[in-house]
Amino acid sequence: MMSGNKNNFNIKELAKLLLSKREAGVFIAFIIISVFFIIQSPAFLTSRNLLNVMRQTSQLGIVVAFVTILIISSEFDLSVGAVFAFSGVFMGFITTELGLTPWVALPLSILVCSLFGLVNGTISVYLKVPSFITTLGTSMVIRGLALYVSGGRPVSGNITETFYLITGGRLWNFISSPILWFLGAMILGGFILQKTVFGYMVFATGGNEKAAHFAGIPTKKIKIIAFVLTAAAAALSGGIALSYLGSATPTQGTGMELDAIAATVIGGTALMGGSGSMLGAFLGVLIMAIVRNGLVLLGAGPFMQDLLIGIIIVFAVIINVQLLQRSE
Amino acid sequence: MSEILYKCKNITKKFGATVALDKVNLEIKLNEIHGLVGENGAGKSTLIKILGGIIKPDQGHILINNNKTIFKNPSESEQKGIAVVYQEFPQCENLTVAENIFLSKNPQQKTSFFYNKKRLFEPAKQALANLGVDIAPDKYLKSCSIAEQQMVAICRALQKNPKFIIFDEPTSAISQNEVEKLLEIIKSLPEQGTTVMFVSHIIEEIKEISDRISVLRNGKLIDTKANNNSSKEDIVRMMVGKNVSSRVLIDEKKTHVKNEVIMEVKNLSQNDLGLVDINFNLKKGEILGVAGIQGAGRSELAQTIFGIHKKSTGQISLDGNQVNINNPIEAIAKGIGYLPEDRNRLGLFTNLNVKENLVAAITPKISKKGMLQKNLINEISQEHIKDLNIKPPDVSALITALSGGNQQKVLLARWLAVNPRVLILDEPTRGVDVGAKAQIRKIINKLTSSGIGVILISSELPEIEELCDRTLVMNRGRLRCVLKGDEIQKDEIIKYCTSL
Repeated sequence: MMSGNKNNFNIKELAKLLLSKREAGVFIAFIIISVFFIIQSPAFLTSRNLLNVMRQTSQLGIVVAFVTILIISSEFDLSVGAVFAFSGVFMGFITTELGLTPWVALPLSILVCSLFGLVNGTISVYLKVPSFITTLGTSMVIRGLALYVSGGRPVSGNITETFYLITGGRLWNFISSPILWFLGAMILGGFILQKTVFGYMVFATGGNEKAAHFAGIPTKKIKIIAFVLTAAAAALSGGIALSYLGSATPTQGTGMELDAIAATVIGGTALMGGSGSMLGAFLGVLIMAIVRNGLVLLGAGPFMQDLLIGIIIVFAVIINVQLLQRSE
Repeated sequence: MSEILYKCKNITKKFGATVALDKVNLEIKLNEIHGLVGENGAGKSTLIKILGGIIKPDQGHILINNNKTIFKNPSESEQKGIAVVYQEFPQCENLTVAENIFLSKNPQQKTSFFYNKKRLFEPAKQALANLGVDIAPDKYLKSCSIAEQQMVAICRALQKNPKFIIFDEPTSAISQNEVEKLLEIIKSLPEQGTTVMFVSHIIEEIKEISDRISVLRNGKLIDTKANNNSSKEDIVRMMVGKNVSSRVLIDEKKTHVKNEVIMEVKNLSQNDLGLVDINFNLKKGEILGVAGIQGAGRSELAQTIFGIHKKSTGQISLDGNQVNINNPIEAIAKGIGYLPEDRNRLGLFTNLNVKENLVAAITPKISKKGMLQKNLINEISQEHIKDLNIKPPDVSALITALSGGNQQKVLLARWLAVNPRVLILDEPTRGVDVGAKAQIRKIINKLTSSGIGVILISSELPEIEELCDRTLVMNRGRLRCVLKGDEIQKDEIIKYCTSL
């Protein structure tokens, strides 16, 4: 009798504790959507399907990990899709035309794209152009470069076998490497946010930039680093896509920037900055992915998909915002 | 002349435990200029906001033609003929002067569906000419001076043909010439059938234009007197009160001043902020007060020393060595701390918890190869929470869950954690309850025993009287005087704050 009561109490407490976490909303949404698809489609809950979903979304996921950090610092980057495309095309070009090994080409591409991030950051932070506008402009420039370099055609990459195995292929005949890169990026992003002084400063800067400045936190530097990290992540993601597919098109990644923002916000990151979490962003990416996948399994046409995904995004965010408001 | 236009009856307003207005009875006579004076926090703004319909009184009402009225919103107050020109008048800087004047009442709206701002120019010119001012109606507001913007605000308020117009500290942000012009304009309003209430800190101005003068102190209306029957000294006495101050400190103030000068400021000017040629020094263990009314340049001075604003000319030296401070990071590295005045806007991270708020200024200290030293953060936070008696004593509590006083103590701890040599406190006890006020004052007093030099900016004169070894008095960006020891008295300070 006694222990029964106690258990009851504990469950209530546990539920309260879970609900008070900022990931609660996205977690609940994730469970509801998953359960719906598990019931509706027997093909959904199979390891093959789930791994497939993870692989498909890993390119977006790598970018989301760092877009989350950037949004927490209260900036945006609409150029990640373009950087993603540029990186693939650039790597394809330098591996086939210049004969560089992909082991050199990938770091080189990340370096070049980091410069794009630096430009985005400098224009937004020092020249005080809202980053929404800055990156809208630079995204056109960067995609334009990708189109120019490739002549508008797909570019194939000269990828070595080991490189393919580690970045695009399957390891141990079971798990796709891109999934590991996705998980790795999420873990790294979470580590940066939670364990490093930089992560702390990102929260402080995004939460109250003036107060952070007054407390001697180098807010401008923090934001610029966040821009550079985001561009570097998009470049890495572009390299991984090239490795997996063997080629890159200059128009790939169109709309990736908005998917990335959507996943981040579904995951409970405040659009105005200052709060958010990597676990939430991770769940946000998965929600977007399983909804797409589940709708395909249910036989929804491609036009229906966008419509439903849009509705689900809005609902997920409503749940999230409501729960967050209540906890505050 | 003696017809009564509005009558405030027993108006009472509380904010939490503080009584902002306590049974205020005030009569406004037709076509008079009614001066309203009082120190910061005396309740002037609250009274104006009640008349303007922005806040509702807890008790009491306004009597208009023997009808009891309480304004629920600004438009109700407007309908009863009241217009208020607030100290910070909201205007559309992106529009022209003419558009701003007719923002709410548009003379061409009824006749035409299409909008043509040029049609506003002629009536705007006329309206401005009625006030005797010459501003081009097609000029954009953002390129107007503060004084011009104010004229536009007044012109706009007059468009509604108010019976009664209230000016809230209209002279605090404009130059002496402009003040005289403004006073002339205000003086002419009763002739045109508009009754005026004029609120100011500056007694000369009040004396110059008012027919009658009301004095508020600690939320109470002390008296309303005819201007010719009261001297300047009478009014100061009414503002300050007879029993000099209700002391909040329990212990006696102990002075820890040493002879060594820690910081010296020479010929400091900041052109954009209007700071002119400021000279002073700060000794080890000293509490140096900075008094002055809002807009006198106190926070601006602090922020210029702290490197938030770039100084135009002048030197700052620490321990006799001239230093160059370009940003807060450099200021902190040199041992200067600055607790800003607006806790919510400039201090708190409402998204973070207590310890994360507390360590914000010591990021180099809590970092080891870029990693956060969580144990160290906990240790430092716990130590300060204990020292300052912060409640609840929980380092992981959300900062927003704390009371204002405890939030302020966390911010104070943020700067104590820096181990500063010079600590600038900007209104450290504003917006906290009486108990916390006393605790914070005690902490400040104790601080100096370790040799920290404290610069205390405060609008609460008892606080300055009680704590400070010396006090600077600022007025319109200039240092008016330095008061020492027994000279630091309320009426003395008010004299320098308010005279021109």
